[in-house]
Amino acid sequence: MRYYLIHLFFAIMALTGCKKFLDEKPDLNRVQPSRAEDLYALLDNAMEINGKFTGFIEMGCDDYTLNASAYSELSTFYQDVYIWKPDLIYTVADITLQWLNAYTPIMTANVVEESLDRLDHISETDRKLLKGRALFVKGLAYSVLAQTFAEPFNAKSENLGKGIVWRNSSDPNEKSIRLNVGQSYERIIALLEEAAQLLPESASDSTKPSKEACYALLSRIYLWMQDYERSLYYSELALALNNHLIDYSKVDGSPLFPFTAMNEETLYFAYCNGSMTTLQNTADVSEELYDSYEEDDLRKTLYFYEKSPGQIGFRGHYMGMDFGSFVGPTVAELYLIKAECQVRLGNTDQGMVTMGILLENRWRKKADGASSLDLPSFSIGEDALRYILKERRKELVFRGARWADLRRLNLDERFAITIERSIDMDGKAVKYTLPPNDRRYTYPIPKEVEEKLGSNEK
Amino acid sequence: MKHLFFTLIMSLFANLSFANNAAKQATNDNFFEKLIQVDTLDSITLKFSHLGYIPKRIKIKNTTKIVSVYLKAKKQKLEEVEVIYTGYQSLPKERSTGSYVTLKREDLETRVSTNIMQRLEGLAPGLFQDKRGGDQLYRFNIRGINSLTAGMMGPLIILDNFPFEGSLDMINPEEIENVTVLRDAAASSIWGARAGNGVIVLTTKKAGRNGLKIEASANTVITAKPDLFYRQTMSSEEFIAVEKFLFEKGHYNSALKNVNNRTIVFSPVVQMLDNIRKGQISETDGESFIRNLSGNDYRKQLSERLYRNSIQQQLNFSISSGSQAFSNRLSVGANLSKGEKLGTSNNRLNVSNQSSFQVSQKLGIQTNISYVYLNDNTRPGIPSYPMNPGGGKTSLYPYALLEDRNGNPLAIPNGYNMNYVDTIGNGRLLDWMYLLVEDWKHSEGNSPTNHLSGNVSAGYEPIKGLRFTLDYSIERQIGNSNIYYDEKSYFARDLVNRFTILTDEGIIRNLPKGGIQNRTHAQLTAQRGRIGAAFNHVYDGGHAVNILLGSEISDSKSSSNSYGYYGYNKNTGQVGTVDYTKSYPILLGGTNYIPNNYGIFGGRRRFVSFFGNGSYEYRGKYTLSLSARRDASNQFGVRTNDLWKPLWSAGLMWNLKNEDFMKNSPLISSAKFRITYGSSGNSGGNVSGQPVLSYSAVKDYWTGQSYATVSALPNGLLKWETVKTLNLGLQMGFLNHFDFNFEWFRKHSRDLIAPDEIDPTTGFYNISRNVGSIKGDGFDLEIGVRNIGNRFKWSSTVSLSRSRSIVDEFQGTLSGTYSYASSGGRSLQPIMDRELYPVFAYRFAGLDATNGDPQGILNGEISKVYGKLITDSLQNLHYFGSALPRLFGNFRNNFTYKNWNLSFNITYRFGHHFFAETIKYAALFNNWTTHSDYGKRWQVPGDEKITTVPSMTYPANTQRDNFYAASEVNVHPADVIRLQDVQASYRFKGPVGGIKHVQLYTTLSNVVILWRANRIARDPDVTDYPLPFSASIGLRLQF
Repeated sequence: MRYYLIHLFFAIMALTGCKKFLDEKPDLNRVQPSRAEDLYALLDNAMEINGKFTGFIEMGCDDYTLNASAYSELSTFYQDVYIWKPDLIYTVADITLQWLNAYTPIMTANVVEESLDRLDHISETDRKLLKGRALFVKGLAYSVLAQTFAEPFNAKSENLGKGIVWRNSSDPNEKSIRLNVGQSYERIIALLEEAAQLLPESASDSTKPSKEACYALLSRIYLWMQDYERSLYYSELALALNNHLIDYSKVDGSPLFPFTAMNEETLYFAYCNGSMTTLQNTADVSEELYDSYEEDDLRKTLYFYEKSPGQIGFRGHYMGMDFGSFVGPTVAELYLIKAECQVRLGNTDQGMVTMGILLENRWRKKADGASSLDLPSFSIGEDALRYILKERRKELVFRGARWADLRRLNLDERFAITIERSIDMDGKAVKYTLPPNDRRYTYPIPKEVEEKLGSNEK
Repeated sequence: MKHLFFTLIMSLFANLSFANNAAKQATNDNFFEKLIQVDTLDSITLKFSHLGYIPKRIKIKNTTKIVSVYLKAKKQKLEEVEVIYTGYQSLPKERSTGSYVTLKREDLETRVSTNIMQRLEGLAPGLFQDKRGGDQLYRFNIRGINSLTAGMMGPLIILDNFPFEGSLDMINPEEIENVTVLRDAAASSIWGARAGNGVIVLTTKKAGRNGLKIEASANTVITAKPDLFYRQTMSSEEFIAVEKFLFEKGHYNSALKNVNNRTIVFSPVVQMLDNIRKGQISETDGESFIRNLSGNDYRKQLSERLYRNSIQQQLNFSISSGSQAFSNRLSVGANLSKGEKLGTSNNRLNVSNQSSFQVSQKLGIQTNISYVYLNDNTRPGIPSYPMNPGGGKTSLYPYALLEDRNGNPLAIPNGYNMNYVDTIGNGRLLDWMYLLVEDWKHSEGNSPTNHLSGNVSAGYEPIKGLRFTLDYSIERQIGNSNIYYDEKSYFARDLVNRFTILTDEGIIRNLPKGGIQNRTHAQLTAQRGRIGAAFNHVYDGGHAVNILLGSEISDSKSSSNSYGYYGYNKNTGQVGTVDYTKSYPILLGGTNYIPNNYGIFGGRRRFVSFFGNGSYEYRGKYTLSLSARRDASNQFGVRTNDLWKPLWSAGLMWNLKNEDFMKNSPLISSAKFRITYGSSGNSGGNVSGQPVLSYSAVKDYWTGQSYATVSALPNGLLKWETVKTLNLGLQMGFLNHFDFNFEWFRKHSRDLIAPDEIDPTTGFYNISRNVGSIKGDGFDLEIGVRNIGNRFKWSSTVSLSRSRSIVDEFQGTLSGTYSYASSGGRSLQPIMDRELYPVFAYRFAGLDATNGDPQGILNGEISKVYGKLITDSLQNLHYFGSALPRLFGNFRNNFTYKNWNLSFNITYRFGHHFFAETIKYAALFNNWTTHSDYGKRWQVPGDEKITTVPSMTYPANTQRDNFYAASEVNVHPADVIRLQDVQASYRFKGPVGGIKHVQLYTTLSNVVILWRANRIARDPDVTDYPLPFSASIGLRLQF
């Protein structure tokens, strides 16, 4: 009889060895990434991958003002952000909007890359595309973080100041490290250069990365780094792939938001969330900026509207709705970069020609179909540069460019400015100023992150 | 051939067993005669034995004569052989080394409830119920807490042979024959990775083998409606005084002037004050309007109109018949109850049939089929008190009028400024008024659930002592839950209006007018199989061996899908169409999508287990037991399954009574000493070494493509929690009437899982990690007196349990000081060297005599810097210990006189603390949250001598409020003694109208608090309302 028992024993053991039985996933909606489709699904989450950049890229700018009532309805954190308070106390919700969400695409891209390393049955085509997309997603996310939580890049310094917080992998047991400014830009460029090798020239829709978007982003980053040759080089590479501009005279201005999401000018669709101070109902467009648009400039009506008498609101988002600011690269931005670099590199006339191409699509058309644009001509390069920078601000308003421009232009005494805010407190106007190169141009990282950083020894 | 006749006369009826012969038998009531015919030529030795008597051997020569044999009674054997059900086997209590508590039918019948768990309260030493989470969220623990995850604290529930996955509401408590609580490792480790918190085994009634038995019972329970006035609130008069004060201070000015104040709720008093100020109403008219309101308290109307005493009726019927070869039991139970809220009810029907076939001497088969229908009807439109009016407020102003003197319903605010919803749309919108006493009629919820289960068990005994068993069970549950808001409900009207666009030409309704129906279908299919082999043998020389080996496999699959309809017409079945993909402007501002209830969910749990246990007994004096088990599950990480740790236990029992030195002691009737040690597991957490992604049920907004998010980072190192328990037990009986049972235990729970805060740069705030361990110790003491007295009999049991769980390792991140102080012991909050559910409070240094500010102590000095006080280091706070009692137990008494029986149960809990709520001025001003401590506030210098409640200041200071509310003056001792239940019953002597037994009984539950340590007349064991008093009457019949 004991013989039987032993048999039974082994029969049971065989049962316990039945691995397949236990491989069944415990939850229908939860899976371990195992197929290329799973990885595409992670990157196709446009709401999170394309739409959760930090609102700090716009909130500190001088393009808008808040009236006392709008200011009073903000939480303390965003009130402090508005008045450029140096030490921000983050609540959990603030960390989510400004930090955790901004790092979610990076985490997801890391998961995709690591899964590609683990899974060997994915085809070479998928592997290339997925890797390229993951690298681009990280490159763009880090580049926005570099403009908000890292010190500005100064071509004339060693750039050893505080850079971005970097994630080496998705492993929660691995510590994040804070790079210096130089390292930050080096790594961002490396990500995008590699991505450009892997990605197709253009994507099926602009929520997905492409070679043209890579080049545009590289062009933007080199501009921030004051490396005008490389910036020009990449802007031309990108424009060679896509130079389509929207003719604003053909845009219907009657809907509240005249521009549609993922339009022809968009090279990569990206916007920030949590830009609480700049939302349409909250922010008033600064009068000085609004007045700078000429009457024949179609942007004056397509970008702006009168919220209530005397209050101008912004409606020109390239998302077709009001979420925050658009931050993706566009063809228009490429023309502006190209023109600026051309002028800075001494080719003033060429630069103005480039500007003409852009602005012709922005100005009202005359009865004969010709543009009403009267492009000025400049003999002095600096005047042309001033003109281009002014047009740059006007074109890229609430498009995530102003803050980075303030940071880089402040390094040049000719263009440095002090920006101001004022809040009505019990009938008295309280003034706040942000002088050039102030340390507040770099936002403090949350204490919860700072405490857990690993050392950056490499 | 010779004939030998023996007539044996004995003093009791029973069976008789012979060593080497068999014979005819004849019985009468009290005398027992046996005629035995033996064919033999030589002399033989006959052994006469009988349960409860000392066996006797008699040598009989070849003669014919009448022999009378008298057997001497074994005195201590009056008790029946107690059997313990572990869910795997039934063990005689005599032979068990582990710690078990068995509750018998009679114990379970002392309380009337429709849920079995409610009947266990205060009956099993060591089993504790934490009721602070409210009725639906009782948290059980056996001998303290072994986990850092609130959802993983509960014991494993076994119904008959297998873990019970469904809702406990499905079980008909009248069908439970007994309940066994497995408290230590030796008892529970057979259940392996799910037994770390102890196990409760429910065993259902089985068919008897002796003829026909028909039973019926009925009872009715009436439970008082909740006492809404138990909440300590401010009077309407006080509330109005505060509103006037705030109005004067200009508190409402910005809100009143705000052009966007459509979603701000204003009270009638403030609106009236505003109207007076604007000159729209004369001061005298306005004041008299306000004066009229000051006498109202809407609780009265709410309680009268929408609440009622709840009634539960239970009917049970069973018919059981049986012989040695076949037995069958069919039972039907119905439970009908009407809830405390109008229009709510809960109905249950249980039908089950259990059969047992003894196919041959070697093979026996048992089958069980049962069906349960459960339907819970709710009224989502009946709010709880205090009602949340939305619009920035959390509690409705106390003087609200729900209906006028003539009984016409009146509107109260719900989410919006009443002036706005009154006028907007000029009649083009649906009526936007909320009539509380009327609205509940327009929404209803129900959740019909059908549960069908069947199981088959076969036992095959090829030779004596070896038995193979096969068990299989399948259960299938299909449940729906429906919530329907009809066209006239506020919920539907509000949603339709919000999605309406008003234009000059007309209105556009993006959400169709009509009812709203939300549904969820849920299914559960579970199958389990088990094979086992048991071996028992008694070897010569008093060695007894017992071995059980087995394997088990289980698969439980659940799925649910939910969906919703708008513009639904219940009568015609028509539904409206909506576009979930578009974001629409909302009438109040902003844009939004139409709420979408679509979703499909599914899950699967699989376990494969292998187990074995064995015991060795020597001469009935020493028993050694061993048990081991391995589990693997599709829920654990791959690495956890591979790195299996054996869960095992060992135990030793010494039966002193069978030792020579105690054998003949007249005083000591039983004596046993037990020691066990072992580990069991606690499986939770759904973790994996790979990242986990979740596919979204909806498509991406921008691209329309399906997408997924990373829902968990790789976390493959997570192990299941293990609990190691050492248990020492001493059981003694004296003079057959007194019982003493003492058990001492020590537990160490390791690798406890808790969310550990991580760098948010990872994309997550925390991940589950094995971050802690808990040391627990305590004892369970039970002293019983049985059947003292002759005609008037008294039995009594007093029990006292102590358990303490101290965190002895915690690597997780600590939260801020205020989160500990403010939780008031309501969350687990592990902290090194502290008990779980710690109660921390700020040191309080009295009120400032000049202005009534509360004062704390900072760096040893009196301070009013509240911002610093509330974030002071945790070690400077007053630590009161745990919010769960250190000592608890019960005192049960049972008196029998003739046919009457009276029993009562007193429960007690000692050594814990609770936080009493108090006034918070900022919450009062902004959210209308009131508290009667307002009346005790400091008002003039000198008040600081008689009160600790701070003065009211404007503007309110949240930190000041928070500091006071979480300060030590609001902590009270929670010790309490209560008379839990009283039951009286009468059993008719002899048959009544053809019915064999008739018993009538009445039970009172939650009778009264006999004593409490706190002086503020609060029930420390609950958060909202004390458990309401209930009374029942019932009848049991046996045909």
